[in-house]
Amino acid sequence: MNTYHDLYGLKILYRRIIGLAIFSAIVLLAPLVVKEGYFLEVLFLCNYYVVLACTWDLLSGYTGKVSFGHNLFVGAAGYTGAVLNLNLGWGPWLTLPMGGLVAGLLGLLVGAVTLRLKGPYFGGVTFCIGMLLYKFLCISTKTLGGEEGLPGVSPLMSSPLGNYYFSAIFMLIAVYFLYFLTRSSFGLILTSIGANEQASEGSGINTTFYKVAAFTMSGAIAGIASAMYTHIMQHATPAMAHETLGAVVLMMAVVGGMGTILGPIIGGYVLTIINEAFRFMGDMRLLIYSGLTFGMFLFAPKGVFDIILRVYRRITQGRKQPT
Amino acid sequence: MSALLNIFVLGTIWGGIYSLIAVGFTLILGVAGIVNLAHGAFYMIGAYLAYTFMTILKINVVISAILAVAGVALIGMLLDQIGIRPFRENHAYVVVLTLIFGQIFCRQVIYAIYGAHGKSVQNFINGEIELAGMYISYQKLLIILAAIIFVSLLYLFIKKTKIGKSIAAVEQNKVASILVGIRYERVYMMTMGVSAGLAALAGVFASPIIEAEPGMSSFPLFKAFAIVVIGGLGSMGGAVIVSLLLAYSETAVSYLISANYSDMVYLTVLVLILIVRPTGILNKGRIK
Repeated sequence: MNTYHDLYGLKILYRRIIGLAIFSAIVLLAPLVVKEGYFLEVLFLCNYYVVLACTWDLLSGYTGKVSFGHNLFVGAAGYTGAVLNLNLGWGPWLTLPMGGLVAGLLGLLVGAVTLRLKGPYFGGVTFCIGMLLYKFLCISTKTLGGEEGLPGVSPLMSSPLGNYYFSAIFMLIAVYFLYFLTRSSFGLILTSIGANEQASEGSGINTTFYKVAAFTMSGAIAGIASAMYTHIMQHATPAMAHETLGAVVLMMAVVGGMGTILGPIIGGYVLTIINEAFRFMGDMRLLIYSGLTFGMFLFAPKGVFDIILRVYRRITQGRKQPT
Repeated sequence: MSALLNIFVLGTIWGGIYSLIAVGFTLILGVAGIVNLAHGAFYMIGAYLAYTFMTILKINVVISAILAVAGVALIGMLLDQIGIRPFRENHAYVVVLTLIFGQIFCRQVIYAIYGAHGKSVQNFINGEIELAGMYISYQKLLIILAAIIFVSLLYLFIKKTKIGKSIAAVEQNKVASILVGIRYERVYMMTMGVSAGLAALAGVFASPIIEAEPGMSSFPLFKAFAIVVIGGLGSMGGAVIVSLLLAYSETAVSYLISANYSDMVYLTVLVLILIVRPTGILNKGRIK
């Protein structure tokens, strides 16, 4: 178990800052090694998916309220950005926050209705609403372009390198924010809700408030990321609101390790790179990808992060089992 | 008049299919307390197995229906024993596992085997009858009949047989059922088998009137969930009633307004019900 000093001690804080600094250095220096446009784009996709997986993890990983509605945020915010850019000519500096705002409001609404209920309501409703948004985007051919989507969104930066750095810095800020948020008392409350919701309520915590707050925040950050993605791809498509995206984000967080924030980072990178690496397999790619994930989940349900942690402890502490 | 009759017939057909799906979904939710997101995949596999046995291998209709249902029930039991059993108490894991299995893995397997194009199965029986100036094929009557028969059979199974009674016992009180000597793991496995079999049955009967394609597993899942929430979690009567209501309102909307908006119906109702009356319209829902 984590004691107070494990969670808040200064030594731990230094170690965390060093770890995150190394990670940031790797992310920021990656373009020195990777120069080709295609690989930069893959790395950009990694950044994008890492943000989505980490934001998913904030509510669902910590409290165990599994959401299938990340595609809802991504679709809504992406289209908000595209519509504002195309119709009103707003630049990325305005459309990104607006995307975040819309997704955050959606999170607030959906969360306020469903998160106060116990049971499977939340998962199911997020599932249904995401699918409904997808259908809505597909059938509104006149205003939102139907299945073609909205092409011609203005680009974010002039070069792929600029896009990469924008996404990387945004990803780092989002990850730092989520990391330290979940290691604060806010994260502790979310963990306690996940461990025993009734006991947390009994301790005088307004659990609904914290769950809805976490869902709103995760929606807002995912929304900004999605508006950024729309600008970089210069195209908003209904595929952004398809349930497959929600499931992919969920798989990344689960393969990495739910409820850790660091796990989804690993999951985001690993699965995005595997996905691109198997591109030569054609149609079999998704089968292998999903089979790997399913097997991984079946045999190591706590994810890659847990395995790494166990190996690390085995090395540093010898054969002694961690308590 | 003919529009009204059309809405009635089509609504009853889909109401029957929805109730076969939703009853199984609510059964496993009520008994084991798990939201089985692989339920749509069971429906899909049922339809594809029907296609394999009937159209490709040209086996007799009844035998291939039995084979398809038994195969899917087996898949359900294996999923329950291998996948769900180790983390039965952790609902988040179960939900994620069934999602990855059903909506991602099964869909990709189907896609790899059968391809993306829709497959249709020939009618089980040919011929049609005339009813008030409108022709209704025997196939459609068969679906309605089958839905009535199998939902009633499930009811009798739960009420009258020993396995059914043990399922009901675990649903009511797990600890007490352990005390009277019921092996609850076996009950969970049987429930999963029955629930998966019912979804497969819906898939088999729906296969002649729709095209089987790898994306078909989503819609029954959404609708089953909506039906079960509106009808009350774990309430079978509620599930049947809401299935029929949903099917009629959907058919009416797609006849009178546009087929594109028929999906908006259940979602609007779903959200309203969640705000106003989360225990379902019959107020019989229980939350585990």
